[in-house]
Amino acid sequence: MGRIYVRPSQRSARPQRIRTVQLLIGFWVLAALLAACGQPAPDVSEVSPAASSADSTPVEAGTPSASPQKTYPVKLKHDGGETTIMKEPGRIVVLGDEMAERALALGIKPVGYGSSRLQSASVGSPVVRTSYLDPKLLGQPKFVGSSLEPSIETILSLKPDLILYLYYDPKLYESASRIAPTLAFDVGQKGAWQRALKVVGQAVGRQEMADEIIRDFDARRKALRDQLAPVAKSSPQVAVLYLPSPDTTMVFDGRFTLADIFPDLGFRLTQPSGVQIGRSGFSEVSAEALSELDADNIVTIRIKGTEGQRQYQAEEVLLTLGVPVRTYFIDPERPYTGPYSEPSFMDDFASLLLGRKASWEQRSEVPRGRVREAGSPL
Amino acid sequence: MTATSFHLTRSSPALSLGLVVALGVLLAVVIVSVLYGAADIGAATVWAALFSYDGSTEHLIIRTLRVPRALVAVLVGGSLAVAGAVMQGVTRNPMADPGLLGIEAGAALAVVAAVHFQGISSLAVYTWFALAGAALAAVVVYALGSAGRGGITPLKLTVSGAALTALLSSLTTGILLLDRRTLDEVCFWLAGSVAGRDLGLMLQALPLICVGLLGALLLGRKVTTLSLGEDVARGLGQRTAWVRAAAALVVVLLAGGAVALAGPVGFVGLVIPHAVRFFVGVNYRWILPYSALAGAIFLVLADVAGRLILRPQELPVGVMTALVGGPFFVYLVRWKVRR
Repeated sequence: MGRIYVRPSQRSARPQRIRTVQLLIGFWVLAALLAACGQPAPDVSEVSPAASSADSTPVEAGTPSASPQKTYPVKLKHDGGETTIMKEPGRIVVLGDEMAERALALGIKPVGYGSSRLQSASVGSPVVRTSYLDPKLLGQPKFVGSSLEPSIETILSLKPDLILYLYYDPKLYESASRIAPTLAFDVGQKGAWQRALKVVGQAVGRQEMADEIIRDFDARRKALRDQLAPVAKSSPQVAVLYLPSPDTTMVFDGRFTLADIFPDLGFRLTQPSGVQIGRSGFSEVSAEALSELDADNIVTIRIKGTEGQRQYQAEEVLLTLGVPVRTYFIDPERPYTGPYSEPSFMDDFASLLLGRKASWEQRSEVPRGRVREAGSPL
Repeated sequence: MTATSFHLTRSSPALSLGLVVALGVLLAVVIVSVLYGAADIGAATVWAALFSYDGSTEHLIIRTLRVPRALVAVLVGGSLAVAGAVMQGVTRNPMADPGLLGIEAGAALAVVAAVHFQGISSLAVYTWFALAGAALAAVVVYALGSAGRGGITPLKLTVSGAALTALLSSLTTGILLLDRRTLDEVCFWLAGSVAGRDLGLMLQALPLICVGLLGALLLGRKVTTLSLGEDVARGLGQRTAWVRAAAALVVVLLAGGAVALAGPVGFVGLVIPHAVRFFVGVNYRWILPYSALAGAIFLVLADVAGRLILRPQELPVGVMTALVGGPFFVYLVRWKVRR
């Protein structure tokens, strides 16, 4: 459920030596906040009749008006409370990349987009592209600033009739609610995007589409799980390590949003012995502690763009352990969860564990993180 | 400074012996640093790792993680402490420190700007930008501090250093906010850490730091004279402008080299010279070598503590030094600066 913000939300000028500490503390606090506002999610895997789909892209979107399921006003429960939507929304602002995925998957073309990840966007200008979303899906929403501290004025100027908010700050939720009906959703535990998708589906009259996306996702997960079953049987223990920089090593357990994909695929997540992982699902450790790691498979996650850099020290230690070490280069703009990202990560991780390269090269329209194998020294 | 002036007469043989002892202590803490860490590795294995390397996990940890970081801590701690001591002597400012006076912030900004505008991602090239940034910041802070009536005073210098640090840090933050990729590349470096540095990198910064240290030791006597006051120094025939320029060069080499290697590590340059003065008096011929050794010992110990406190997690060494240095700074402001 944690979420890594590499970008801190600071505005003031403070001494640089404490900046990264702030950054780390900020991200712990954020993770804790997110943990605190999370609510138990329904087990969506129950809603899974078998269907087969091998494509990561959710169902092709039509226009909202083509949908037959419209009854307004509609009263909806969400993580921020209860909101009544009086008429079919046409001008929708999304805050948060996870939220954006949920909306885009339902064919919504937002008029405003708030993101804490987009690198090249500037407030008030249209978001022309992201590193991973199809521009046709995205439209050209105006960038409204960081989803943690969006520009309320820019949102106001867009005259939205619905705001989809990735839940973070109750005060911000209130401000947003005063502008337009606001549906707020947690980044959340397992199944958060599915839950949100259903509610948003109701809000725009596309419940069936939401259900279909979830069904397809579940089917795909099951197919991958079946495909991986022999590997999961012979080498069930996977250690997932995040190496955001040459001297930072983080270990995950299944409570962390990205790492929770591995248990879904039938594997058991393991950590170096002696490492206590907080409820945010991750813990930073010394590279030395990796010598205490007992795993059958090791997946290290590095930031995309560092492919050319030397091996990190943590990786050097891991390579002496005598088990396959596979490196995944993650796109820093991409959220860790959502109807686009989760299937995509799931495919890539499955390919990693199968010892194959992920298929990102063939899907140029939806570029992924890159994969490099490091079973032998690089 | 005045409180310790009676130590001026401490005998040279005693002080020389002290240096040998300090060198022994440094060696001991380096050994401790190599022996202890998140992984439990016995002394015999450590010995084997150093002298008959077999590529095992333990040996790799010793060779590529522990030894480099101990040596980097020695270099960085020594450099920063000497840079701080020289600055304190030349500017007659008890609160001078490469961190407090904006020199580290200048080096950091130069590196971040280099990564952002030039796309440089090699730690080796960081060094040159760090040096340039440190030099520019030193010039600016000195100019700011000496502007206005009454020339340079400790208070003015400290305030202009603080103002410059704030300005440079906000520019750095601005660049990082604009560009996430830069942040990803340099954020580990900005923490002020001696972990994750390999020996190759250290060898690149080594010549600069050695020149800086040598220069500082040669300047020792002149810095002592200058620390008695500009008038006294001139009266004794010293060409103070040249001494100041040489001292500035030394500080830039030391602070810039240290920052390039470890990122900004605060307070070493502030705390160590004061602690040293307490033992050796006010003669910079002794303060400087003692500062080099004490700074190295301090940073190695801070790094060991940072590794062991939250084991198996780690605190960057910059955080550890700030924990000690912060309270000490308050003490200095309260008791040492009466203006």
